[in-house]
Amino acid sequence: MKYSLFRFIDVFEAFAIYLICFASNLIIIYVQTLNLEGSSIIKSFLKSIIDYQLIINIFLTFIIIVFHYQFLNRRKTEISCRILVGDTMVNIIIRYIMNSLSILVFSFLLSLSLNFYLELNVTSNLYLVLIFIIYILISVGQVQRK
Amino acid sequence: MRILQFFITRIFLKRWILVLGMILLLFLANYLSFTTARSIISTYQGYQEMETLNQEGTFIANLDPDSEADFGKFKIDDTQKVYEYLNNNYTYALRADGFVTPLDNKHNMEVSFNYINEEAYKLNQFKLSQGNQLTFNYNFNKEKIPVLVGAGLATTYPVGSNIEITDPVTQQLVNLKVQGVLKKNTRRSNFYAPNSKNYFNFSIFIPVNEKFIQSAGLDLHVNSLMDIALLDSTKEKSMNLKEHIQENLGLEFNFFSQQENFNYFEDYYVNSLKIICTITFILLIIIVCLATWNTLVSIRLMIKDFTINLLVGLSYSKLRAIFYSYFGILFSINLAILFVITAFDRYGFWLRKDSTFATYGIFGLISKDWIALLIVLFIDFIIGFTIVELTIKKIKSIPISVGVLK
Repeated sequence: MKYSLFRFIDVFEAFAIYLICFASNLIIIYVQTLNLEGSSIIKSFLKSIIDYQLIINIFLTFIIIVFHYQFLNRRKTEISCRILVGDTMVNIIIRYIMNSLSILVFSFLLSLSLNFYLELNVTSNLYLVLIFIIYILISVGQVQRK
Repeated sequence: MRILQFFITRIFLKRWILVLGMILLLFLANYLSFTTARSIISTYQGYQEMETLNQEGTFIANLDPDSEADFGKFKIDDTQKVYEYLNNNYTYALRADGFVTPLDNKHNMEVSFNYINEEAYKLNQFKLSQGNQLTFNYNFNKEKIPVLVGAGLATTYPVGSNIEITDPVTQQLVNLKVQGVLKKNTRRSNFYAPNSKNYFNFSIFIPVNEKFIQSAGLDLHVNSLMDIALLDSTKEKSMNLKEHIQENLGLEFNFFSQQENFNYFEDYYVNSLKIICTITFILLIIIVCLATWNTLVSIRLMIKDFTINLLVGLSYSKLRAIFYSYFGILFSINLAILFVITAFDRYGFWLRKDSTFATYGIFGLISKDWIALLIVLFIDFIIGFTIVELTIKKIKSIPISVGVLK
């Protein structure tokens, strides 16, 4: 993470948000595999959440947009300073994408342990990874100097 | 008001992604609270209905899950023997719902016939909006059968009107006379799933007496047995009936006493509600943490605007009022979305012609929806208070001079 725009707290925040999104998706999938025939009250309650699985997950992934937005807005001055001392915008953008992707991959790999623990398909979270990659690529447009 | 408008348009909406993120998170919190509140209210309503059966001497039939039932093998003579035995030796509450019948009505809904005997009728105490309560001493095949109709059928079949139709359980042409109209949204909770309800807005209640049972077919006989309730009985008498049913139909029934049922259901309800509340509480905490994080990052970005306003004379109490108003607006937006979704969901039953769930209500919402919305409003107050106070604390912790320099 040399020359990175990310500080430890930023990495931690992004990592935590990714994990919340992956975990919530996995838990919703796991709940669907449970046999709740004996408890209709819990079953119908969970159904009212499971029915909106995709919407809930998309809503939660929006938090990562908030993260990228606020992060890049706070780093505008730093980007200007870096360019002043000889860095280039292209390098900053490449480093930003690589750093964001590494945080994403690392949290995805960690979420795989939950996959194995809950005995779920390892591809369950892949669509979220794709959504997050799209968010990272879109957020590149926000890498601007002040 | 002008300062609030200034803050919303010039400061908050300038970073609309943060506002949208907050709305989505608060919506998740509201939807979750709403679902939980509605489940609890619905279960409580079901529990109250079941309480009418929790009387000394009441034994409720329940088909043993291990009993192998071949319904095709039953003969009408065998079921009639069981009912003869029941009529001679027991006082029992009998009820069978959901015999769907084609019957013209203004809303083109499917109409279901529900059969009820006098004892079950006394236990349920249906409230009427028009007309009189049911009478059970009519002479089947000779007199018109007095019936109660659901609120949705009241315009097509008002009190005093006659309905000539082939009865689905006796397969005979019967003449029904509308004696009364049930109150809107009269319902019944499922005995084993108290949170699920059947609404009787498009139902016809037919009183069942001994002669009617004798003329009825296997459908009514077998269906009614499934949750028949013996009243003023004893364990010994219920065991005799169990043996009698087993001899004639080969079905194994369990008859649980009022105390056994009460203990089982109380445990079942309480445990289910405890689990639901725990899940909700944990999820709400996670969502509120995310919402607080969202607010704190908003402050990181907007601190300059806040501190400049504080520098030129805005007091912290006024800033607090602005935040409360801002969150009040966000919660109002979410409550309005929740209201629209719920109303549309309820309206969907009318569109799909699903008569069992079609309900009447103020702006389409029934009483439990409104109560759940009120509970959500209360939870919103707590969430709003927590987030705003944390926000103000955070802003206060940043010196004005530092904030301006940012």
